[in-house]
Amino acid sequence: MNRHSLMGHLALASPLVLLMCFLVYPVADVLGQGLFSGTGTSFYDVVVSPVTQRTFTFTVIQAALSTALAVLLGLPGAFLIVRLRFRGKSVIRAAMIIPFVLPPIVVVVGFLQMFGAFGILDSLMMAITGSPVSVINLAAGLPGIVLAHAFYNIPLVVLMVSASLERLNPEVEESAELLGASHFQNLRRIVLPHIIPSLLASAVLTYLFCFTSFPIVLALGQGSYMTLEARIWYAFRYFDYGEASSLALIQILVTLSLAYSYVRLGRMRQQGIAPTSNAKQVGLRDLNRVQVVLILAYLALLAFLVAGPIAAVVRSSIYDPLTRSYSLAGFENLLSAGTGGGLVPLVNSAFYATMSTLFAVALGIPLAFAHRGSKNPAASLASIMALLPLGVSAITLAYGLMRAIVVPLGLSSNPWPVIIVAQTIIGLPFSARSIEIALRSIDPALLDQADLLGASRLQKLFFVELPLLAPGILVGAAFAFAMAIGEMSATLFIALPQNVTLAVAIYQNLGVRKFVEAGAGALVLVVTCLVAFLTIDRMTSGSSGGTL
Amino acid sequence: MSVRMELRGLKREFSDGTRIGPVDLLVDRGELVTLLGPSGSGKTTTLRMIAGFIRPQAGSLLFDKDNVLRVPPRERGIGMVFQSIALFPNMTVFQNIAFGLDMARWKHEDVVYRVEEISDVLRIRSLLYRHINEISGGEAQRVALARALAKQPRVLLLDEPLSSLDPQLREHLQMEIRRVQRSLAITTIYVTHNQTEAFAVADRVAVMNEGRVIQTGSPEDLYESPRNEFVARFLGSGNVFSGRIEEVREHTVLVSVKEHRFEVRGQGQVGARVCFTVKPEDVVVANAGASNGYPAIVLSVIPQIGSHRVVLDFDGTQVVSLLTDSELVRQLSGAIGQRASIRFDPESAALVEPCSG
Amino acid sequence: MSAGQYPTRRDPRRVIMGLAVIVTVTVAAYTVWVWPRGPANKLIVYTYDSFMAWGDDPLTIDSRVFGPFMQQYDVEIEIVRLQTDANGVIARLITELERPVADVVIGIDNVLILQEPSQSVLEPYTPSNINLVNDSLIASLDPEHYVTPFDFGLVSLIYSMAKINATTHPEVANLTFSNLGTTEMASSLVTEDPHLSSTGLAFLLTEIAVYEKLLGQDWRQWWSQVHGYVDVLPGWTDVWQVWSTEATKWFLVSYGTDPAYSYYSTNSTPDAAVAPVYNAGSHYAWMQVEGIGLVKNGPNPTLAKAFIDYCLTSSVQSYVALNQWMFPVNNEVTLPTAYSYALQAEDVNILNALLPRSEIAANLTLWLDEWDIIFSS
Repeated sequence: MNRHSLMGHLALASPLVLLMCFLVYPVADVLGQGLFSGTGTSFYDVVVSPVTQRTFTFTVIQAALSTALAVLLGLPGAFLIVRLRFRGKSVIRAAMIIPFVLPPIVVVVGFLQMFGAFGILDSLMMAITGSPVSVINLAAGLPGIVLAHAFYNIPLVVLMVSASLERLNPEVEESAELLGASHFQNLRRIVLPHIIPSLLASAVLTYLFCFTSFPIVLALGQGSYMTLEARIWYAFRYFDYGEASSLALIQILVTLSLAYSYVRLGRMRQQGIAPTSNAKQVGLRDLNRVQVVLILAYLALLAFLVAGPIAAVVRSSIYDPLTRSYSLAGFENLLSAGTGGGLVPLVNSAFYATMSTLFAVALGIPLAFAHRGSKNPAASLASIMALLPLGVSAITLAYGLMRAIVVPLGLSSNPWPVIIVAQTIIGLPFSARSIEIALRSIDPALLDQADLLGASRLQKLFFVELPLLAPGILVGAAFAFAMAIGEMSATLFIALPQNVTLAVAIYQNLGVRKFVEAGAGALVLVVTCLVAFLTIDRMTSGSSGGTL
Repeated sequence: MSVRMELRGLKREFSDGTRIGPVDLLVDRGELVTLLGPSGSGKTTTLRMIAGFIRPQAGSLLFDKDNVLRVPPRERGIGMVFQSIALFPNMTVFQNIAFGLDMARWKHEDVVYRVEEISDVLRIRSLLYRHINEISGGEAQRVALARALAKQPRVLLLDEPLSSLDPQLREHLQMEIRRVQRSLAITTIYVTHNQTEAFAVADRVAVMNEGRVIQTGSPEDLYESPRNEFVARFLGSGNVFSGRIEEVREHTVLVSVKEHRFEVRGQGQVGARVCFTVKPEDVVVANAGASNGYPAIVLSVIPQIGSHRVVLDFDGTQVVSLLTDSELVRQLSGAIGQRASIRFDPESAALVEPCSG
Repeated sequence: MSAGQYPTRRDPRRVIMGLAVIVTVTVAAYTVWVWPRGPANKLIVYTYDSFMAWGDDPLTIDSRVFGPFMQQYDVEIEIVRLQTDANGVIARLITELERPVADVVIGIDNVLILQEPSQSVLEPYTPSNINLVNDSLIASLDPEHYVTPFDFGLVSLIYSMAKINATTHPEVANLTFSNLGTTEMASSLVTEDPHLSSTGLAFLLTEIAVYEKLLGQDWRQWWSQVHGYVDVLPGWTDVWQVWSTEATKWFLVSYGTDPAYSYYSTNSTPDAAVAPVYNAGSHYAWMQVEGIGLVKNGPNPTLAKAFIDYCLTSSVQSYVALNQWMFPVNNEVTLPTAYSYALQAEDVNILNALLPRSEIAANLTLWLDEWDIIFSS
């Protein structure tokens, strides 16, 4: 092994080593302590407990329902995004990312104002039926949870499936049409088989999100509905480390098998299909009246479900429900530097999210390269490691990092590096995944060509691979940034007051009834991510979703 | 500087059981050899072994006297144009052509000089500022060629470089490649599966099948005397007959094909199974009533440049003939499905071996 | 054409170096910015996020309340409000058990202290001026003195006077659990999840005390009845949020000082009123006592003890009412006028007496599990 290939192996191995130190070791430490030290409930008792079984059943069912709804509502959106020509498409596409960055409490408030009793929807229904009492409350219980999960995940389905649709060569469809296939046959035999892997993959990812959902379920579940993640949180609160670890282990096993199937589907999906820049498109004018009405109805539904809660957030940034007046105090607060001012959280959020995005990308690149040689065991290890964070509950991770890293290293009174570590880990699956897919779409002949032209490994990386990976890197970075800046669970546990992030500050401001301050913070989150994504959409000319 | 390149017994077996080689081939200094063969015959693999992307398990690869098998691709001094062209989409035309020079850390002025020089040779000077997605397919080919040649490689490898272009453009670029290759006198291997293309550009053609070079020679040699049935079928139009030698004469043999007998140039043992081929232009077609011909059914008459191509069925063997007699063609066109007769001189038929029957 | 018109390539190593420099400078700048200030040796107090956060000027409250102590002992005090509640504070102390950073912890209540992990991170300490605190509070909180009472409050039902009042719903004056059990009333109630909120847990204990001790009935009955109607949210913040924005939510579980806060902050008649639970001629409420304790193996035990003593004096206790909206434990402190709107301990029977500490300690997990079973059916 010469010096260069040694360096190469070191570069590929470094993310695995880091993940071992900062993810596997801390989590294993917590789980090992909880499972084997004999404090709290034993694994056996946890598994046989009817509460666990009920929780497990509910977790599985709500995730399935949420996934079904997200796919059902997301699929037409994917078709519209790809096939319909309309103005402002890139803005809509970029707006799709917003739900990812909203702290759960903001989503809940938005949902209540939209779908709750006497919310916008309810007021409308009351006006229509002339009823003096609340007619419909969709922001509670199972419907509330499922709707909120759909709100989070419809965009995911739309982005992923539309990317795959864009890659369908229009000639295939056209030749099918020439061969006499009807619209429906065309859809069933040509389009569906083409998008089914991406559809399944987005479904698996949605399922995974919903499976580990926690704040939404707590807030809308009225205490009756719990996911495994919520019970892990309960158990940690009551210092039952045995139960917490047992549940976390179950959850890791389930989510890892789901994550594994996602990776498999992702592999199937990439069968040398290049994106086509000229996907078949139609303008609104080319459609008949029934189609237009159907499309408008769908858009209205989507606007209600996705844009409604966002609009509520925007309004809350300038409307104070206590004084019933409009004010800009929230934005002034964001710029005030003192204790309780918004500037510190703003700077913290920007710094942590930027740093962790940088690290998530820096680790994601070698992980993707390691994954590329898809035959050796290191490749499988790399992809499992990259997906592991999706299966580890944030609170377990935070506990592990505190126990295994923060305290032994004496960072207790200045723990910000570990916040960046946690946010990096949470964003990593997204950056690694998107870079890896981008890497796979690079024509290997380009690399051979660079080789023949005398480029060294580093030159090849810099002048050929990285520029070609740029769109994938940017999209991965956008998702990692969104995940990092919206992250609350792990940050809450590790952070000291000086480390407060915007998401946490929003939560706190709501707690002390500073509504406009909270709203302004949420709006800043929304706008930051919108602008970031819009820029990236421009830079990658619209193929962003495909790299998820 | 160009080199004399020699492949000696290059061999590679893949895990899926595919075997390539041993491949033996000699390409002289400044010579252009085409590797011709059907897809899967090992042309591209051979090329990639030369480039260094595939490591042969046996054999040697000589550039002049040096065995370069242990030299990494980037130090072999090879310019290559890939089937997918593989221009770097993130760069301009200039940056693409300059890539190899930049990697070698040439001074910028020298790079500019060389890029302009080579782009003049390829007549793409006006494209240098364009982005890759702003040039046409034919222009992309020229850019790829310029990029491969910029560093003055010792050997040029072209892997089906024109396969994605339309016929007119392809023909034009074949001539261009030939012109540039001659003017630079660079040792070149050109891979193609298209016989016309191979013959048009090559000094010599090497026909490959099942991982080996079967026959090497000038286009004329190959066309006139294919060494075996495969070459004959692949190069000719498929006029291959098989039968048994019935009688041996002074310079010819008498071969019985089913109940008919043909006199064929060549020698052999009485009773041996042989194949022989007749080039389409040597097959004489006449109306059914003609004397000393063999009966055949007219299947189709297709007009093409300078002649008509007539396909006939001779006792289950397809026979192709090229006709220029327009009166005869008119008659045959009216007689599709009907009888005609064919014959050829013993001189124009040649025995080929081996023969699958 | 001159060479300058074509772009040259940048050296990748320069790009890497440039990026590395920018990152290093940013990280260094941030590190300096957040580097812990002040003397290395300072007294660190862990508490929950909203500690003393409800006053007129929460930004300067620490220096006003603890300034005199800092001057007297020439030491800096850092009040570290962790982004969590008291359970979270204990959880952090547990993770730091090997290398404690904090000296003192404030906010451990009379239920939390019953759990073994809380005691494991604390060192029992009896302040020299413990006589300032009413014995009953000490008995309620912790007779073993792991923690000393700091403040207390009464957890009760609060209703919005804008939404209902004694005219439309006369039962609010003497509200019983069976009143609350009707579909209409149960649907109008928002409470906190007892797993996640000490207020929610206090309400669960209220209900258990009333049913098991006063009525002699199975406590699970009422919860089964209201399950599906009552809205349970994770924490006090969420509950308050929903209660204040949703017209259908009349009642929330909160503190008896809410009307006083309303009066004080709006300077007008309170828009919220207290409805303590009623049974057979008396009103009842659960008392939450929050304590201050000495962290086991903390860096500055002597100073920490002096600090705990100081917290019982009126220099600290006089700030409790208007900043914490809890009652001070020092009985020499006079309450502000706004507190005339608050539910007073004298107005109600304290339910804590009915549920002995040992009974809670022994049954808490069981009760929560049974509550789960009711709510997940």
